[in-house]
Amino acid sequence: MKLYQEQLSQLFKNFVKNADVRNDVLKWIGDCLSENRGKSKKKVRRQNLCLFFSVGKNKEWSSHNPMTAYLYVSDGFLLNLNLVLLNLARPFAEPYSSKLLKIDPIYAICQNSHVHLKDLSKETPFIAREGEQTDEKNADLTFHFITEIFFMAHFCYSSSVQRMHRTLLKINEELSRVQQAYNAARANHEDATRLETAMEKGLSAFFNIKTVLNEPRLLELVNALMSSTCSWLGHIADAPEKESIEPIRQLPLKNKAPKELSFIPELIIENISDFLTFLGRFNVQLFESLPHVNEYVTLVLVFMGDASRLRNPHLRAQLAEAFEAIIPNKQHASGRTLNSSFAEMIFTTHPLIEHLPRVLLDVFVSIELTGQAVAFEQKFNYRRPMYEILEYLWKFDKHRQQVKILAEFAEEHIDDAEAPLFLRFINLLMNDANYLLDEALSHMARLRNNQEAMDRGEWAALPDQQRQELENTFRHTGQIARYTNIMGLKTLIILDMITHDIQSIFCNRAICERLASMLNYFLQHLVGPKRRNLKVRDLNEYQFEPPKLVAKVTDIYLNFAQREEFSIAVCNDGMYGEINFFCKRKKCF
Amino acid sequence: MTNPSSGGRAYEDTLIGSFLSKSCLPSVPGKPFLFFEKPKTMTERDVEIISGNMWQVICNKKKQLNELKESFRLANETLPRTIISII
Repeated sequence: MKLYQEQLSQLFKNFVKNADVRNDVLKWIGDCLSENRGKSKKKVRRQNLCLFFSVGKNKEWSSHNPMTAYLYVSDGFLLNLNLVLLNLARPFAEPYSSKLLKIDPIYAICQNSHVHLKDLSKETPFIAREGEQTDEKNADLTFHFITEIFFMAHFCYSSSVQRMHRTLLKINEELSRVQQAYNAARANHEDATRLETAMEKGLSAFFNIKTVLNEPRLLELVNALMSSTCSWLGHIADAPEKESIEPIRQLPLKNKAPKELSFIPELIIENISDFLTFLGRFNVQLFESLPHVNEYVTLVLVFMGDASRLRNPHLRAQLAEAFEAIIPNKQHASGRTLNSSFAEMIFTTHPLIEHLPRVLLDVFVSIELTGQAVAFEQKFNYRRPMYEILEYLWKFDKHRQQVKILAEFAEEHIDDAEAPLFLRFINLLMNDANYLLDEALSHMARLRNNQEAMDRGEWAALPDQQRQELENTFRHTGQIARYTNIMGLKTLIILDMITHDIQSIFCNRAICERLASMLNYFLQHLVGPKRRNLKVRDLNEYQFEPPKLVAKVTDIYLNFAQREEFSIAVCNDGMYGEINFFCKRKKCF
Repeated sequence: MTNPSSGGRAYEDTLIGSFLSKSCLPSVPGKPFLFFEKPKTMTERDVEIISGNMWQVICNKKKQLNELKESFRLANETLPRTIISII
């Protein structure tokens, strides 16, 4: 495959050497990419049909979908075209190369006849444009070959590799659903055979696509483009007027966001996040030998916490997810784990890493600010990688120290009209803990009621359809319970971790009362008389771990053992007086 | 070089498109994947070996493609627009 693709790239290189032919070739590629952009659009994906699996909701199987297949070129086609473009980009795809200065951001919004990638101007930019930039759109500019290839390579990556990565994840999800259905259907031979065949086909598709995306030459070329893009984006975000590209030496960037960022399409940063996330999931060992890791880290530090340079909070949250890929000691899809010295090296020696706590808290609170745009469940999905990063950085004195500085600043400015970052952060953390644990407890109580109804034979007496509906709802409640249990415990772990080292700001009267009331409430439910409502069969299946929850709640109490304000707040809370609860709590202490 | 006017898929039917279409992945819906036929019974080592084979498989087409590349190079140098427009 590698040699074939190299030959193919050489073929295109021969084409573009001739100035007369170059224009035609670029037009062919540009039109082809624009005509096939619909393949990667979500609207089309939702209409796709899944041929391998007859269960499940995710339908991103375009290469096997008759409708999509007749409308667009195949995955293999786009992947080969991407390789050709990555090969053409290789000579300038080097971080800090002076050739990168030839990339003109205006290309992304310009609509004159010299622009071969017509649809690029339809993409959403990093930040909103101030007014209609008619001059730039219609200017009679010509663009360097490097500019065209740079944007085409990114556009094509977004339509090919990034889309196939999403497909891979959907197959993975479907496979786990089919596996569950298979386990449940073993008694029925016919169903089991059908599901087994579906599983074989799904697994085969999974391995084929995964292998194609892990092809070493492809990864090498993508890394070259993405890491050089990181250095170029840093240059544009900082000072696009400079005549050389240099590493960023100071954060946060002081100047106003350059208008060039309002030209550059979001898909570029999506591609970078996608590449890192892909490696984190399916090729984690490559990280340790990946050249230019520092460029990715710098990109994350520049954009993740800066809404003035990257407006979309989803994308900034995706950067957190991408960054999480370098955190060691967790099971990756490939079954391998990262060498912890690799992450340690980044967390201790990267020249700008001291800014990580600040940008992390910034993106954490940004997710809340997006209101309706980010669904509640999605918000917590974004938070999960942020918790992982926070937990890991807490191992390092210098990062804990940075968080303490933020906490001290917040305490000093607690009454400011604009709430300080750390204050907003702990406020949301408590909100999350409250919401998740409350939801978890009510779902567990609902599951218990359902199980009791089943045990009494009430469901068995119902008509088939009605029973089926109740069983589906029961399964769904179980999934949500599992999710809220995991996230609820995680949020408490983070709260315990922070309050272990930082108490002062939590002893502010309003915060203290909220925290004490929340802890009392959960302790009351977990060890008081109501705990019987939570007793369900298969606690492990729902990841409901009351001992761990109680341990975390009590750890948080103990973090404030020396703080009188907190003790008063705990005692003043109405729930404290319940004698049974109090006695039981004594036991658990 | 004329661009097809009948939608994205039509680019596969051009000469350049036909080269780009050669892939380990199925181009037609419902067609089986070429590798990992019985994945459930495979060990991790089997997967590694097959992955390696998959990355090598299209090497066989190298010779054929070399000849084509050479003919394009000649076309590019001697009859640029006339020949290329046929593509």
